[in-house]
Amino acid sequence: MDFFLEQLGNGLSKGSIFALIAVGYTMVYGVIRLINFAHGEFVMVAAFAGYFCLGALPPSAMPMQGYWALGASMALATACAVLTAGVLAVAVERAAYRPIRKAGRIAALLTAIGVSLFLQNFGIQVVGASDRAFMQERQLPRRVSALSLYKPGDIPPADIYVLHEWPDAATDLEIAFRAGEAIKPEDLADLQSQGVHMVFSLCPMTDGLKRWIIISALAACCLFLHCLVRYTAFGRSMRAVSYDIEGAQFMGVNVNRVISLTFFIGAAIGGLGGVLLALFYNTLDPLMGLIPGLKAFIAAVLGGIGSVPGALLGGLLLGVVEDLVVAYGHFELGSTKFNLTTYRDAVAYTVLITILLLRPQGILGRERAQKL
Amino acid sequence: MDFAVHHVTYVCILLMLTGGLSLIHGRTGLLSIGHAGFWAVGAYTAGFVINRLAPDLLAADATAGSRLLSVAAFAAAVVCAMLAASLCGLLVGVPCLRLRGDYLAIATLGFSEIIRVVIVNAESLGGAAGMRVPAVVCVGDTRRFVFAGIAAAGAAFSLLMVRNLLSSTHGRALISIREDEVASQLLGVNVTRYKVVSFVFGAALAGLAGAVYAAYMGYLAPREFGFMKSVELLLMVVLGGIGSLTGTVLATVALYIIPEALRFAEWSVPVWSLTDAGWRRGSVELAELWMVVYAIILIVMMLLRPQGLLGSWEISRLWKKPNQRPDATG
Amino acid sequence: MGDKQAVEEAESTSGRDRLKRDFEILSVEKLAKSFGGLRAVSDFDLELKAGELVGLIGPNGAGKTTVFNLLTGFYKPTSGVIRFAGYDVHGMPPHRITEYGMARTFQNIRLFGDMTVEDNVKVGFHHRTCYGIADALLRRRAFRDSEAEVAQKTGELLDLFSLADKRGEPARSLPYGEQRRLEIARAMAAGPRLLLLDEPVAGMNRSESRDLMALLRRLRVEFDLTMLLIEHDIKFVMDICERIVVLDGGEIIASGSPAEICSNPAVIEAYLGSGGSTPGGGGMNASR
Repeated sequence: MDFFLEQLGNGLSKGSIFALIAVGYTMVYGVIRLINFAHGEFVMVAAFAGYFCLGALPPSAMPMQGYWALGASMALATACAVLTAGVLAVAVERAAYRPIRKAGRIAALLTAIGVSLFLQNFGIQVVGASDRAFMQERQLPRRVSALSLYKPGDIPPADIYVLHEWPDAATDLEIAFRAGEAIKPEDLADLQSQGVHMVFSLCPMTDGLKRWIIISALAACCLFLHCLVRYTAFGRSMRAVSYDIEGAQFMGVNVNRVISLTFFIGAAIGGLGGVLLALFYNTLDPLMGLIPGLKAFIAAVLGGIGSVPGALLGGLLLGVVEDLVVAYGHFELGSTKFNLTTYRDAVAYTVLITILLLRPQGILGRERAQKL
Repeated sequence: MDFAVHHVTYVCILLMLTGGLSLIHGRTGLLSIGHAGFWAVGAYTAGFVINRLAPDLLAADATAGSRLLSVAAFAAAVVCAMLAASLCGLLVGVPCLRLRGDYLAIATLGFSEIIRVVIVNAESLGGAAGMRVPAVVCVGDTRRFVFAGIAAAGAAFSLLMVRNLLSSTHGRALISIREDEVASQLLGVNVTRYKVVSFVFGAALAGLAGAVYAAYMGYLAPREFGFMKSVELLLMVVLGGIGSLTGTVLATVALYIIPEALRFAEWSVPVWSLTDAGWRRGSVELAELWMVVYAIILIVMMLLRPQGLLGSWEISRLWKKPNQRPDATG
Repeated sequence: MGDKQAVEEAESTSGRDRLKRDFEILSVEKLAKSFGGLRAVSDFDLELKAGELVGLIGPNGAGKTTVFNLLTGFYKPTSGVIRFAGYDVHGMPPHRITEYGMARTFQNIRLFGDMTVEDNVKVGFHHRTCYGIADALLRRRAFRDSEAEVAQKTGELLDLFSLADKRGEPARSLPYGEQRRLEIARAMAAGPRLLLLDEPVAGMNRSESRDLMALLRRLRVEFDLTMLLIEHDIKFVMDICERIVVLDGGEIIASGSPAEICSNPAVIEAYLGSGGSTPGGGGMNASR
């Protein structure tokens, strides 16, 4: 049962990330019927923006302590990522998608594939193809205390490091006492003789903590989107454009502005997903957006493309299904053994093709009548 | 010289692929971004058949009989590869009954990715490490010339078949589906059937390409058949001209030659890269920037000339008069 | 297999004197179609005798194009029976119904824009061309003979529609009136016994529509055609049709000769009355 809950939690946090990315696909598709293939790359660029922002302003450099510092630093990084993704999406829409909006869906999809390829390979040139750790140990938030609080014979529960100056992020970690070992009097005397007065311990990023961050981010986004679509003038115009782009234009909706804003919001939420993706796996590279982007698209189709609640539902469902297949995928049927654990990626595509064949409008989508 | 022969062989293999894709995408208007999947099915089927039928038939002391047997094994591999790939084409073609445009594109991508995941996980196909294919047909110095000949014959066959199909009533039916599916249906074209025909035909040619590739390279790696390959093939078809076989051929040759030439030229260009410590200036070979250039070509192409460089112009227009009287053709 | 049969039938009917005049080519009973809760067409009955020329009129949103879509199999009817040339074609896919000898044109022209004028017409001949894919790939005799025949027939049709000098041009480059003519030529290539015309003179000026009227009359005699046409141009309908059916709100409100229709109070009510929908404007345009 514990194993099941563990897997469920894991699946839900991955699913939440898919859901956040899927929102961008579904909003853009809903408005201009374009599969924005480059959305995964917006996510990637956002993750890098967050990474560099975090590098410049790590939790250890915040004027707070412990998890407050982490919160502040992550908030800054997220804001940076969200803005970058939004601005990038608006720029791409303006430069590449708007001129060909009337050229048909296939031309638009090919352009989107081009933008996606461009961002990936440009990314490889700019930041290199190798992957990086999103948050390094020395950037983790710190809990500072006075050296004088430690007595010989105490057993610290976590590693204790020397604090030279505060706030101070750049220096490498210098260990004072190891976790689980009794403090020796000579070590303490040695540190005091070096003039060290303050020490600190690290607040680690546990899987549980990541899970809570991710799921609460999703909840906040749901609330935001619900209010946006239901109660604002923009939400109304967005629904109008999605229903009939020309009709909306005649009714005085500034279609170009609505589309730009849709790209901005979709990519911004995707950008949040990008930061969380990098946080969840603690790794990022220029190709990181491709597979999660595809899976998020699949999630959007699963939920019913064009429907925001559908994208959220589809994302969560896909994350959970994928994880459960991997966790419980080895079984015996008669005398043959099946092992599906290495087929993680095939799960999503199989879900996609099944849904396209059985219910192309998705779980929450509605069918549109074909007209002559 | 050897180098040039290799490139000719490779371009001919690509021509079989783009010829088929030009039928699926260019004529029938079905956007497929999983064409490398059909290629993979062909290549691995051929590899599997050759491994079964002709392991080490061409050792140093091979007799005339075993040489003949290895040619037969290759022929069997070609047939099996084409059959297997067209079966996959049928499998992908059937969802076309319901899917249109961009949805179909994503479904083809899904199919090709499933194929790749299955190959990576299948021990009998060598898994992620790749599959060795024993030499067939011939070994030694003449081998590369023989395979260049086989590939050229395959490419000529493929292009001829595509051309013959296109200039018939079946070809006109395919093009009418691209132009207006509804009108075409209401004029008596069985749209479903022709979409499947298009996929099966294109896939069979990709299977042929796969068989030639497997026998020529002697080694298959799953990553060769990824999504990027499908996009490259699609770009060749799109760039040359959506409705032009001539354009497809020219674009295939050009898009293969240019990066190879760049690699040969070893030009380097200055670039700036972003590291943890800030911006840093460096230089990189132009060949490594090729993918960026590729993407830019695709975008600019779509913005300026979405129908491709040649549109639907064919080289045969040079010797055919446009206003030919119909009674003169019979 | 079905192809061949249809070809033979089409062939036999194009011989102009074989059809009996009172042969019932189309009979529709209690046809209904609803989209969700909206009833687009209900209780639609229609009988067409071979060689008749019937007009289908009604205000915008009356369901005229929906009727065409139902007859050609593009929409599946919710209920009702459609018998065409003695066959029950209810629920058949559109391309099969075309094989039985029904062809149509579209309200907003749907030509194959990038194909040449000649190829547009040749697509019409598609289902009457009886060589297989293998014949085409190998350039067998069946392919060559059949292609030559199609080319010749296409030439005849293009001459008839005075499009012969435009044969090599892409269809989208033609002026509007010629595009309309080409669409009819393409439909004629499918060898129809029943031709459905959806607003054939929409957007044409007086002289163009007079020419078209003459052409339609000629086609009707030469090919022994039965025609059903939707048109908003009342004068055109009154001039050319022998019988008129008036549709409003998805139901038939009147039917009879042009003179009867002119004086029918229900028709006048539908066009000028309470609903406020007038011919050619206003209201929800569900027929598009």
